[in-house]
Amino acid sequence: MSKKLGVIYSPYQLDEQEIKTVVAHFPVLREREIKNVVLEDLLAGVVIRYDTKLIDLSLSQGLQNLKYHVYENY
Amino acid sequence: MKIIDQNVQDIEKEIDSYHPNVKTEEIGWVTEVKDGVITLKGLDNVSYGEMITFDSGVTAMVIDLLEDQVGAIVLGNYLSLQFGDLAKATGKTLSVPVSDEIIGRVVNPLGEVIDGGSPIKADTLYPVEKMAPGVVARKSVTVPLQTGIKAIDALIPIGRGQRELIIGDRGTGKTTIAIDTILSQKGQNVICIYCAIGQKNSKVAGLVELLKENKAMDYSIVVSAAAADPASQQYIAPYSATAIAEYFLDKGKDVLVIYDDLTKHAYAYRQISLILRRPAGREAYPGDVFYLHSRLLERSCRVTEEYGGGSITALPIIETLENDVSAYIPTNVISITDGQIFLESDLFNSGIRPAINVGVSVSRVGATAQAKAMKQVAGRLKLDLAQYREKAAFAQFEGDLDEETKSLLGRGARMSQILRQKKNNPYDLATQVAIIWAAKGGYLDALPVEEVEIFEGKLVEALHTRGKKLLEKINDKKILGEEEEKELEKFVKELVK
Repeated sequence: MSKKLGVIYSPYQLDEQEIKTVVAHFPVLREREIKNVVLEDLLAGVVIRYDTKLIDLSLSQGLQNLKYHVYENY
Repeated sequence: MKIIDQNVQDIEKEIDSYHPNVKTEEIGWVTEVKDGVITLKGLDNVSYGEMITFDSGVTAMVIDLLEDQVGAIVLGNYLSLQFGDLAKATGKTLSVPVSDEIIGRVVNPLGEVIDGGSPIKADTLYPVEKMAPGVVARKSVTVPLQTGIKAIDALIPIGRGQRELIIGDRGTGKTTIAIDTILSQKGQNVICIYCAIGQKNSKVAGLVELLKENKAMDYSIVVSAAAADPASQQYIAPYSATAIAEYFLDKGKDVLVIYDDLTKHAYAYRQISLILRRPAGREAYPGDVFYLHSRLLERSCRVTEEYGGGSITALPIIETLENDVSAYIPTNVISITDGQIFLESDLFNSGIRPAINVGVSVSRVGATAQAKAMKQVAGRLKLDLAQYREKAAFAQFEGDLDEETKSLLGRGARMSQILRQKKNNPYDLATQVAIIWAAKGGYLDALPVEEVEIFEGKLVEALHTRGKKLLEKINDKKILGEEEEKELEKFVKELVK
């Protein structure tokens, strides 16, 4: 049976060691076939997608959330 | 310290208070975009009614959960969406932001201001879809809601917490009755919400202007999903209006909500359902079109002191075609509401306005929610008018009728005349009681029918200038005592001479 897919989006192409570090932090990726996609818009950090779930740890999303937080409270 | 330094300090404080947290989001991708309705794949763990957002800021509400796809209605500009766009589930159900600042404003169904004023700072969010209060939380309807319209307050009295349907063809005065009811709530401690569904923007603008001129916007809110707005907004508009009403209900207030009109609401829901390929039933409406309105109107009720003691009174409006009250949507809503006010185009065209067919109209709450003073004068009125209508066919044979029948016909014609009223001219309780008392007492029998209107105008003027104390007494006590009747008799006899 083929492994399920897990996608790591990053602002630059990650090497094997970096991918292993990310997978080590997210147990849900361990049994999956990992694919690395480059998206420069992320600025920094990674976005992890598996099945229909998304974990957004990118700098661009962080800045967006911060902007929203300041706009709502100030 | 300079203002800019203060601003920078405040922003730095906000940034320091921000604590980002890692969360797993549910995502999906757009596969179809059709007229405000989108189909997505993914979103495996999303709930019914959950909000989803797109990167462009557009939001949508999930209303269809199928085995391998999710259907959602877009609450914004769906034209910006494309195949493959990423949607994220928010984990929240659709809610409308509410606070006391919303009074006097015109908002869309999402709670966004559309009157050009400043945004509303919300206290809290109220869910658009909510279960109606249970049996234990409810209290029976006993407090009157004065509409200011003689024919309604005398013959079809409405109470706070009741649902009374206003039904009739186009152009018969349905919205006029609703607006006059709002105008009549000045000083009555009732918050009014007018929900415009599928109306022309020009009509809504005209109504807002009318409410402002009469200072009614001081206690009113307008929720508008106009004809040009997407069907999704027209679909959620009445639920949003009810959510706003529930905010005030929970504070112990009495609220009046007008849904104008639920026919267009049903059209919008039919459009959405057909696009989602739900099975079409009678007249192409989906099978749950009854539930569409029943779950809305059941949220209007009067609650016990334990739950605040407030009430939501609903005046839903339904437009009929060719006076057909046996059509699908009208019969559905008639069976849900606690009565109906039926407006006929024949009566309207013959000059009888408000064009209320008193025989078919009913208030299931009835005299329980009628002020005692009005009960005293209008107690037998409906029966007397029914007898008059029955004998009116004999009017053409007037020469051959006995005196008693002639007198009954004369009295009935004058009673029917005093039930007519100009639009946007609501009367308070005391003025209505005075006019009906004068007619019931036979003081108008000597006047020609054509002069009854002039007499009424003079009586109102006299009471509002020289009879203010009398009116205040009746309005406060809500009873017509012997003393008040004697004073009233003086006014009436003076004018009849």
